[in-house]
Amino acid sequence: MLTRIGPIDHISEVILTRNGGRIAAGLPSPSPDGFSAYIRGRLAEDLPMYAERIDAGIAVAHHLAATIALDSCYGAAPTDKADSIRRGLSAAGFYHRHLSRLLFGREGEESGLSALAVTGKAVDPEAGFSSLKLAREAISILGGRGLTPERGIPGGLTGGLSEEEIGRVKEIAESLIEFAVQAEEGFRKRAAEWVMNEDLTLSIPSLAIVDGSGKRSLFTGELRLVDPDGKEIARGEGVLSLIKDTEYRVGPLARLNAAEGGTTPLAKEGFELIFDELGGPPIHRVSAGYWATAVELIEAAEVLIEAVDAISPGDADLRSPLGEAGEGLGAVESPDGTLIHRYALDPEGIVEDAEVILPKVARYAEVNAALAAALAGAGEVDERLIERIEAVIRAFQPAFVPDAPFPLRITLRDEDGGVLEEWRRG
Amino acid sequence: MSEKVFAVYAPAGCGGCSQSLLSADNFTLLLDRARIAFWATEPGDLTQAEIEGLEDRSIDVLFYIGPVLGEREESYAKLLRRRANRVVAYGACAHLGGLCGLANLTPGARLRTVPSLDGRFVQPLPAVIDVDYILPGCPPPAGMIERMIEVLFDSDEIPEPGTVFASSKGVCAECNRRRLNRPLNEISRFHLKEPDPDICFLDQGIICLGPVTRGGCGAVCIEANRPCTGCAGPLAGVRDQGGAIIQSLASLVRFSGEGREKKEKELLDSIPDPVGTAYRFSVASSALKGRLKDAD
Repeated sequence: MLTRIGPIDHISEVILTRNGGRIAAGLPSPSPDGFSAYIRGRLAEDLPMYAERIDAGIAVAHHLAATIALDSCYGAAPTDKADSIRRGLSAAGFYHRHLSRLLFGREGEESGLSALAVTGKAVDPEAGFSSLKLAREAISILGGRGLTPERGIPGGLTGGLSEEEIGRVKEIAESLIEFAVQAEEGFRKRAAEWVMNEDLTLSIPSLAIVDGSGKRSLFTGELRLVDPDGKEIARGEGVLSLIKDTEYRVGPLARLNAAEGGTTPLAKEGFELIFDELGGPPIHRVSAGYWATAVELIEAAEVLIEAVDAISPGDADLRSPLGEAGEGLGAVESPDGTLIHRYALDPEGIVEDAEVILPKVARYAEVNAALAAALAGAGEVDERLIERIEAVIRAFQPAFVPDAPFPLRITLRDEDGGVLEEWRRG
Repeated sequence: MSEKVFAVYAPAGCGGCSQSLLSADNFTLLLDRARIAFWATEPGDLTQAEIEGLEDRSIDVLFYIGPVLGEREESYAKLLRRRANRVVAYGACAHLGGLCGLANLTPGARLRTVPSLDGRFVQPLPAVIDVDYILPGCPPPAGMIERMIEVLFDSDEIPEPGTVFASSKGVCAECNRRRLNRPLNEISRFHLKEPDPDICFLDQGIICLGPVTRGGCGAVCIEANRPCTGCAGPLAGVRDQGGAIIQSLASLVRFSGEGREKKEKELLDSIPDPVGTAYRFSVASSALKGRLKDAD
């Protein structure tokens, strides 16, 4: 039982199943079965609102994926101004999520604020908290509401920003860059060595979103799937049929592998440092995703500044004319990885069908593949096997202090699901 | 003031409420004033045996987040009730069933991956146990959370059971738009027709749940030029939020001349997705609850 602040969106349980003489391990599927039945008959304009409640940890990304899917359903490209606000919103969402996971992904032994971020004192926990609040404020200004934005509509946004609000977001972004640079340095001092020693490696394809020239994006663009050597397998909607039955990686590490270089100066330097230390791209060392997360914190703040510089004040030029309602797809990079929404609307703008491809589904499949590799041939559950499972899960849970404890329950079940034995960690 | 003990139980939530608590301005005050009994955000975080191991009334304040889903959650909620002096239904799902409640209307429907419903409906927490306080919203706005932390952890005040940490007035009281009292003679949708940001949505034919929804949020969605979705639940004294907005809309419909009644009926019939619109967050706590039994 965890008597500290609960980690954000963590893997809480690994199920072991004794099957004949073999032990298999796995996580329950997080696939959102039932969403299409849930959303059928609802209003198209409410989709961004419903979508962000599927997983509020990436609420901003869900909101934007739904909004972009609606652009596509109505054949309406957003205005430049709406696009800049959305881009800034996406960046603020990245910052908030990444920082939440880094701060609350693990804790030290002490409870309370002092244990929230312990990076050899390189990062002040109070500063972490206040940066989190600033990121939330930026989401609130850009999206019209904190944590769960409200402005997305097909072809644009319901409202814009005042001159004061634009100034405030810029001020926030500058402060966020400062903290991110400090946090990334702290991470390198304390955790980069851990990343280099933590050698869990899984060579699988990577999926990310790229811009027209193949560069990385923290927002929207084109889907790009690469093989374990980094060679492009498919680009655009053709990716969708390929990922149905394949294990693939999404998220910070996948973005390193499936997209080219950093698009902002400080983040570019950060990514180069990772490649200098670990080689690549591609990189398949799972723990490198932590490091990439810390660099993406800088990148998100840099993108936020770029985006806000392109926003003009006022509510004008925020809506494009809409065509007939139909089918559409929206794909965005969420902090956790590529997120895809597909909708079919009837001519009245009522939802007929919907499909959501969550980054969590890919992540769990990746974890399961890593567990299968770690347990290959295991016939008995002993302490060494439990430690191996713990090491796999640790490699997938980002934190400023990656070697700090985290809660995990491991249960051994018989073929009928009956619990035979249980281990509790963290 | 003696150190208090609080706990967070949120395995069926979307994560928004937990984040809203972490982002509250005075969250650090909560940590200073109180010890954490447990903080469970995933189903594997807390077992029945662990709850049973806690002494009765050993938790001063339990924040229950998310709807009650299935048999396991129902029995956990009952066990947790005994361990806690005060239970807060935190957020729209615990308060009303939330958006998840719309799943009660369609077999097999789910907003997100949830534990099996065991053939049961999505339920709000007050349908299962006695709840002391309500913190409404999806997620609750920062101001309401901060007020709750202040009252429960930084004062000697013990609020009356039934306290709702929100405004006793409606969202309209916090809305800056001009009300023109125009009759409702056509229904418009905010993505198809650009609303005038200074005029009441209802005057523009756009359905807004502000008149029947509890305030305290500062009408933030309306400020963003999006009509109120009703996430804070019904006004004090109103049981059925959806029924109340339908009634309120009906009172605004005013045609004159020949065929008046037919036109009025046609207008009300033309409301797209009336259930989803009127009961977005409150199906599970409304008279509707769920007409269809789930398949599993």
